Amino acid sequence: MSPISRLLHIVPVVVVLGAVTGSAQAATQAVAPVTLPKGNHGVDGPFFPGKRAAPVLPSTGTQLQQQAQQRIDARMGGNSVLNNGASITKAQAQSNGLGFIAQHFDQIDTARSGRVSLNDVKQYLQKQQGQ
Amino acid sequence: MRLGRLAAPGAMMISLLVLVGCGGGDGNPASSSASALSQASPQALAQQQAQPQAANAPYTDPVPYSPHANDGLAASQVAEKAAVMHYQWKSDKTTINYTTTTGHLTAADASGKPEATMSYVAYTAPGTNGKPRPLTFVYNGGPGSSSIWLRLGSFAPTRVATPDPLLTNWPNYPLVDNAESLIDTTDMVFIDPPGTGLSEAILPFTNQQFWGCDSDVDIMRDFIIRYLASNNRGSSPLYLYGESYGTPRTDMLALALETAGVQLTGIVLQSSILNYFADSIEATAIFGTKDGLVLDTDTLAGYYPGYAEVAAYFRQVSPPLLDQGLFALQSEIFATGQYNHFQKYAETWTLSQFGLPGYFDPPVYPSTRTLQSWEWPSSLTLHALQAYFDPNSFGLALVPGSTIGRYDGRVVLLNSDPRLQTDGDPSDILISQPFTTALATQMPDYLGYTAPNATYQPLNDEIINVWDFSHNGEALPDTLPDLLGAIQLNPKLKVLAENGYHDLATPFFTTEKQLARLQTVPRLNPNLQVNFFQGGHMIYLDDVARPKMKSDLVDYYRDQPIPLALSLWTLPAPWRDEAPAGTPTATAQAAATQ
Repeated sequence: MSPISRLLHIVPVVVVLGAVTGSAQAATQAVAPVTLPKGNHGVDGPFFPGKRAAPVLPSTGTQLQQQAQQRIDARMGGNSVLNNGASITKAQAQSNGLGFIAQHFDQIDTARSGRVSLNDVKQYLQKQQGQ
Repeated sequence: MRLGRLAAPGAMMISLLVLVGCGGGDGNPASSSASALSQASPQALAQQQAQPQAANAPYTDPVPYSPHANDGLAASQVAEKAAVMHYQWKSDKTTINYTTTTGHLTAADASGKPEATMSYVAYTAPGTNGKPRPLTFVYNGGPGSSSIWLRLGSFAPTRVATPDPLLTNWPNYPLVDNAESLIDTTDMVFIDPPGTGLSEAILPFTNQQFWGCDSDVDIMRDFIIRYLASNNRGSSPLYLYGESYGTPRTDMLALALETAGVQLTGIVLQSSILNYFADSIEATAIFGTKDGLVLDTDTLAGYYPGYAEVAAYFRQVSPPLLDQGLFALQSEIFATGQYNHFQKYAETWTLSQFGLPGYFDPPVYPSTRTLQSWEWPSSLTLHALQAYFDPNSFGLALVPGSTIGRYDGRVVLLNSDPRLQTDGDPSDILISQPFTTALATQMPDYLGYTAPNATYQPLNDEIINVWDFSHNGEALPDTLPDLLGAIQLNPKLKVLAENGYHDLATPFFTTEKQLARLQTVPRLNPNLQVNFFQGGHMIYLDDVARPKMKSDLVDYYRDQPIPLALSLWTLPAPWRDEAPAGTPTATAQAAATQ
């Protein structure tokens, strides 16, 4: 008997069990009614802040690349353990939630110093983009 | 070039998979049985057969979850418990035995400090071929929305069957088996962010600390990391699927997960608002100063093709519509060609959406003669063109005496309908009450889960008023840089953007123009596909769209090109005002090298 036909064979039992235990749960779950702020924008928004913002022209090209790099830096410890040129070990990368650095540590640490800085990470990424 | 717009004639290739993939775990508190299932080898199946562990295990959760801003639960109150139920899903050719897991996991930071107890529903299945099954994390948007809209409407094994775009039998829609479920292709985990669903912060954190673009992404990342560890799913191909605000969330979350070392295989952006600044009606039309109107022509042009599709639905086109895709292309060409003319009317048009066309200056409307000259190139009737520039908003003018939907412009109600008094969007009315009603019985009856001391929050309006929209030093999120960053960390990332032609909340042309900004980045060749369907913001509600979405998604998961989808290079070029002065556009660069 193939695994699939075996599975099919046992399914009715599972379904019956489901019916029995399902009926044992007679209660309903309390669910809050949806109330919309000012009566619009629906169950899934998108909602906007009450205070309108000054427009920012969408970036392209070099500016867009720079913004992407800033956001990578910010997520890559640039505002915390790797700010101001600080460097960390592989274990520190892991314990600070910087799994990308930990996983690619040996490729990033080209000097084999056992520590990497944000600059090392940037160089690694640039090398990757060039490939 | 723009074949992506053409309907695939007869291409309803619903690829029915035969027990694809393997390795489905589930968030089973009895983790030994979960791991046995997760192996899903013939031995494991035999084991499953021999042991009673496949028995359903409902769970009554006593925790009094609170959605309020300043609340959080003591760590001693929370538990990673779940109801586990077993069912069967059938399509024409395939039968899948799947497990639902409904409960909570604790998201913790990198040091292990608990942050929030997060409610989720996982649909998992064992596989057969020894390879781990794909795993997709799914969430809605808002911000402030739980994941029930996608869970009850889209690709779970069961769904609420709506008569979209009609309101027949409202508000009682049946819960049905979902022939278009993705359970044959991927496991799915639907996540409720803190303050929605039954998710709550753990003290000393409070719910509101997670009500901002960046902190929300952190907590979603930490939940996903916990789910992967708890269910031993680190080797599964991982996907994110977000709708609406869930799309900027996805761009930011993808970058957060990649930096944390969680490599994603793909992300799906459904009904996108990738750049909040791009909508001058909602985001930047500042009362008191005209500075906010700088992107108004982009906005007017961006809404136009979706509006035209809605006008076509109401038969306000001549000649009659042959193909929605072709018509979208025609409408984009028309709006792009008239861009300079539209500039004259853009301020009035934007302010008309508030019913205040003359707020700053005497209103400027296109003359009847101008509108008549547009009839042929646009194919819209004179009435439909007039209605687009109506001083009381196009939503009230297109169908006289009625209001058309924002989520789905095809859904229409008479202005006298009392339901419009509390919800101005007929297409939101379509699902709001029916889905919440369905949830109340689906949770205990099907998912085997109840929380008698808590109230599930489908949408927490407390969140909307206090959400911190700032991101990367700007007042609103523009997440194209985050998407680019995620692609740079993971150049193979598969990106799919799904669009509904009749969505007037997040118009498809605006989404194309935002994604097209990536055309200006040198040497970037992302794995990007963009596809289109009839339907609104919740595209999957449409019975024609849903099977097509399923078919396209199966191709996407299988690394097959989606027939007729656009790529980065077949998208229309970004608006000319989107490049700083002196920056040549991709088109200009291409022309210069020829």
